[in-house]
Amino acid sequence: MNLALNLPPPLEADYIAAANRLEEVSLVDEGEEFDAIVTNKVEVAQVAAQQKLHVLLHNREETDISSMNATQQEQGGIFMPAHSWRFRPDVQAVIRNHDVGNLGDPGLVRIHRWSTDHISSVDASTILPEIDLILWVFGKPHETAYVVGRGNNFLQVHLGFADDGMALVDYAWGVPAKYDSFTLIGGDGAAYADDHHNMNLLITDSPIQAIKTGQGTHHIYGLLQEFVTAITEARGPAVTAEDALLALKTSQSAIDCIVPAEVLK
Amino acid sequence: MTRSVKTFRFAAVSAVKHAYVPEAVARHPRFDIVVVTDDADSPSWVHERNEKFAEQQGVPYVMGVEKAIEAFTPEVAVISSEAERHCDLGVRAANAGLHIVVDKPLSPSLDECNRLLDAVKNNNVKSLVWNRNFLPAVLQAKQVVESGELGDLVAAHCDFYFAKDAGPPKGTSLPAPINWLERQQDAHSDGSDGGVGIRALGELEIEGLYPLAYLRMLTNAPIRRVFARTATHFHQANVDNEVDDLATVTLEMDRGITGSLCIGRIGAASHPEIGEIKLHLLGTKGGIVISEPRPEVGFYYKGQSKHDYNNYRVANDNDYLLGDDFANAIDNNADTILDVEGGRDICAVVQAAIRSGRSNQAEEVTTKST
Repeated sequence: MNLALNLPPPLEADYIAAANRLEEVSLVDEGEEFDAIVTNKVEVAQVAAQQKLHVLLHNREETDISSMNATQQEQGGIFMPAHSWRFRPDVQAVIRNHDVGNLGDPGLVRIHRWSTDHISSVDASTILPEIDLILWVFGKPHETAYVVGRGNNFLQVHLGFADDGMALVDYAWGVPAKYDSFTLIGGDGAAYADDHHNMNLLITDSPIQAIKTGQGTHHIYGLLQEFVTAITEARGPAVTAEDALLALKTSQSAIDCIVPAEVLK
Repeated sequence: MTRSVKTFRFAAVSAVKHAYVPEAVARHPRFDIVVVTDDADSPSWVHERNEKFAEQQGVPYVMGVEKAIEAFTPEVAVISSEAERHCDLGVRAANAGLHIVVDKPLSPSLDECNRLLDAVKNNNVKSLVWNRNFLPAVLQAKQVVESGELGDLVAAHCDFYFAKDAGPPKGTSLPAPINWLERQQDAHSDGSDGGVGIRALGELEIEGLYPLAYLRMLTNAPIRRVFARTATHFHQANVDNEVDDLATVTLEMDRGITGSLCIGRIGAASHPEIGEIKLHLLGTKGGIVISEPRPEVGFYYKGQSKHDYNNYRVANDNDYLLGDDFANAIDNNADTILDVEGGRDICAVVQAAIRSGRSNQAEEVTTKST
């Protein structure tokens, strides 16, 4: 399969590394003939989709996902929103156990996500990954939402689902170091994917430091592998436009009901 | 060498729960147990447990609380009854002029908490609600917060999952609904009878005091409003008695601090130890993630019972420090780390969370004046 990339340099490098691991993939320039493309530009994606080519789109805009979905429905190529967070090794391990029923019915998804990013505003696309994971676990839309926020630094999203499911995410931006924790508690067991568990110790002249053992770019490899496999098996991808649109809609509804944290001073 | 500091005579006023509280107080060098007592009209199982505890401690068991107080003149009452009787016993002890130590939860009834708070204030006695705020990792969190390293605290979260079973799993078909008290009596042998009593208690009510006491101490900010989701997800006893075993609570506090509590009795299979218990604290300059059971030592060996925890907490002076704290409060007319007022405020948060779980709306936390 000939694969073209149209991505900003850091992401492109990750995809080149991932593509090099996939035997069935040959990277080609965008000007050559290709079967599939990975891009963050919807206009590039649209041109490819109109030619019935397959598209992996790194873009979280609701209008772009919708338009690509419509084109894909008409033309029939595979369109996959690039929800790379679903392919993190730790998340994959949790979901695999969930999918085979080891954990029982999901009761609670608890996420702590602290980011070093300084963001200018909190919008639906900012919180999309965690909301998508939650919806992926519960497999249905939420019923209730209560959201507390503080400017562009902090957001807490509390969702309720039918059959007693619940989810709680605390987002923080502008934190000095990145930290992630993803816990799934089910009726028969629980899974804990927590950076806290994956720390080693650095001992120097300074006070002892915890250093995280990262997961590299496995999420890009996993994402690309799924995209390529869906094409070769002529099946639907693991992430659909419907998934992305539901996650965006849920994220937007959470943003729309933010209660300012300052109100109770 | 003789001890020069005063010791306090205490009465164990009911010891029907797993008796870790009166045992802990009895171990402390500032407190001497002189009697175990309970109401004479209590059911026979209550007397049996009290008698057994008195025998273990080598002190008399007296049926009749007022009678025991008059005969043994204790200065302190340590109350470890069913939760629904905590406050009534506490009021009577306070009215008799005794300082009081009460097991958690203070009460499932906010009115009862208020009645005890009035009694404590009116009689000018000291009080301590049993808690875990002196665990080493919690003290470490406090030290970091107070050092200013995190800046101003803006968010505080506690995940508090007990990896324990509570009888048959949800969905178990039984000939009749599980009787709460009987289930708790059966659980006495393994110490999982934290909800012992006639009134069924959810996990928020049974264990909620511990994490909420952490957050109260660390933030020093009253919780004003909550939004909660509550569920019975694990245990048939909770289903049959319509009380939660899993809950999530959004906490809105003074000074714009936001927080959350995730709590549940999530089954023994869900964690190799007592459970994942964590604090996530975030300030304007940084954050800290605390694992509450640490420090701990792991043990794994052939023939190990699957009922044993593999990790043992070490360097845990919580019980001793609670005793110190209480003695200091009496000695110096000081506040304790969690007094009846604190226990009452936590009860108000728990009750608001339970209301919210039913209403699906945010609920204001009831203050004493309202």
